[in-house]
Amino acid sequence: MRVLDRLISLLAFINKPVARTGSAAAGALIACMLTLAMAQIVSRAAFSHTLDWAEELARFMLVWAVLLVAPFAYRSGAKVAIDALVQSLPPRLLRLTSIVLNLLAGWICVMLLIESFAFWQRGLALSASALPIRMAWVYAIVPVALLALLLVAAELVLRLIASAYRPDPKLRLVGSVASVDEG
Amino acid sequence: MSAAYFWFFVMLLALGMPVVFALLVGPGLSLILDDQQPYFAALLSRLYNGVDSFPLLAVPFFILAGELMNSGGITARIVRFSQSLVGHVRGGLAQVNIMSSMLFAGISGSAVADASAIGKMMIPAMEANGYKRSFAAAVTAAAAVIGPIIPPSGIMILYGFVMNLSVGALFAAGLVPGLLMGAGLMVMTRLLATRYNLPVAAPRASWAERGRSFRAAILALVLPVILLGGMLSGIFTATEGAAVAATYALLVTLFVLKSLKAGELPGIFIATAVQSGVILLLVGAAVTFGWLVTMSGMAENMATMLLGLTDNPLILLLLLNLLLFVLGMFLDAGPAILILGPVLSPVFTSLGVDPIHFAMIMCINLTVGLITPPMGLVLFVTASIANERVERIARALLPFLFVQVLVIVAVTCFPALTLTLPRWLGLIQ
Repeated sequence: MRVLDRLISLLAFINKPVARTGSAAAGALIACMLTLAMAQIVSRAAFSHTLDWAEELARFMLVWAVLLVAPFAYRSGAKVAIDALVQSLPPRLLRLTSIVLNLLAGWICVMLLIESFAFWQRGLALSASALPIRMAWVYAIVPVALLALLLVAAELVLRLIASAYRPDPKLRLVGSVASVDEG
Repeated sequence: MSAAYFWFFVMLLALGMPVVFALLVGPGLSLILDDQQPYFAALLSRLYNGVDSFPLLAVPFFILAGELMNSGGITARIVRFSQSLVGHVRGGLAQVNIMSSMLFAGISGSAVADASAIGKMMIPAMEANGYKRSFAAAVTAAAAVIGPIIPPSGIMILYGFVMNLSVGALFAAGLVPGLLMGAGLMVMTRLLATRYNLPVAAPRASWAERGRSFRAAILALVLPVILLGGMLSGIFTATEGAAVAATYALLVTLFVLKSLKAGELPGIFIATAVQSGVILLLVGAAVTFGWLVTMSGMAENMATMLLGLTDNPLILLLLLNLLLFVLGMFLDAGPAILILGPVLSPVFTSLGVDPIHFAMIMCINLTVGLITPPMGLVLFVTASIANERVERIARALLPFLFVQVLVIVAVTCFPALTLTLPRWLGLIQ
């Protein structure tokens, strides 16, 4: 039990700031994307000059924002599920279902994480079309986000297991979707 | 590749797994089962490419505009104005919701953008006015479907591109069915209003009150005019239009109305990022899933089966609608069009069906598929905005879905509904 508790607090110690920083950074990126899109319109309308790089940069920022926010969305339970069928399950079975589903989510993160290194490496040889950078810089967010998602999956699974023995005030279980409520 | 991924997906969904994971884990398990691990690389790059697209920027921008309008009190002004006009009608705000969506359809080309923009404004307002949250979300979702049917339309651009048809003709063909659907939804709302005793927003307002609420709301009401003008005159694209909407809302709330403090902005931007992140991850996963549907040949098998049944075009078209409706429950409209258009259109054209007529049947049917569970993107978006259960919204959607099925059948049986306007404009013969 003590090992389990240690692991949970270690994972929470990592996951909480990662989720919070990720979503804050994503919010800042949205502001940048908005500025870029407006700069593009103004530049084209006022100076008849198209900023090719602005569109590309905004697109990259979108990918980053989406992936940066993913760990927060996963951990806080901000995702869409259909829970009509499992609602009537007894709590213990619901917890077991949630453990299995989060293990599967963690598994797909591992599989994609393994692929993401090759994906990132391909980016070393690719240049962006308008910006003077290698695609590897853009692709780098993919393994980072997948690793963060994996750690969230691990925290949720461990919390679910531990909650079978003692109540966990931060753990929420809606249908079979588990989340951590940081208040 | 076997169709196992599909059954895994359905099973995981039924167990209550978040849709975005089910869309990836289902195919993943199936790859392991078929011993095709090399495809994991393709799974990852499809997921990445599904998000890496400039038009998708419209999603966070429209959500941001909605957040700003809500926090800055613009939504409240629009609602007050609408109330002064139709608030005394039973179910008035539901009617306002549908009409706003039709107006919005003339601005945005995406049902998801429609649902997020109108939903952000109208769902809280309707709830505050005494509507059930599930009903408010259902009205929003049903009305958002009109978005890509009334031009401009993202999926029609896609269809025209793939099938080499005039996008102008497709746009013109969509106008009448879109208006028909809007009118049908409003009539249905009127019927439901009496039956369920829907709230009346306020007593009938005097013209002086209407004038006052109009002046208070004018800054918001000119926005569609700015957007439409800017897009029609080519100053900005549809996606950039979304950015204009967000910037306009930002400037008005910060500097004109002074209803928003700079200190509130970080919270609004983060909330926008979280909501659009959830939606766009879903889009990426849906694109990945659609790619697998193509690879496994599942859609083509179903089409072959359908054509083995009869050679009467009308019966086949009605059967086609059934097939599209079922597929639309599981596929996003964009991928479904990319998969089925090239397979089905030539078959039906050879049976004497006009390609524009056929395109409309596909586009309208698959767009309605965006609100049918288990895989309905617009349904999920409204559920996420309203913070309401998908199945409750789906139940409240049934009467509206009935109207939409009627429109689909009408469009199928009467080609004149779609072909008259483009012919009259000289876009087709």
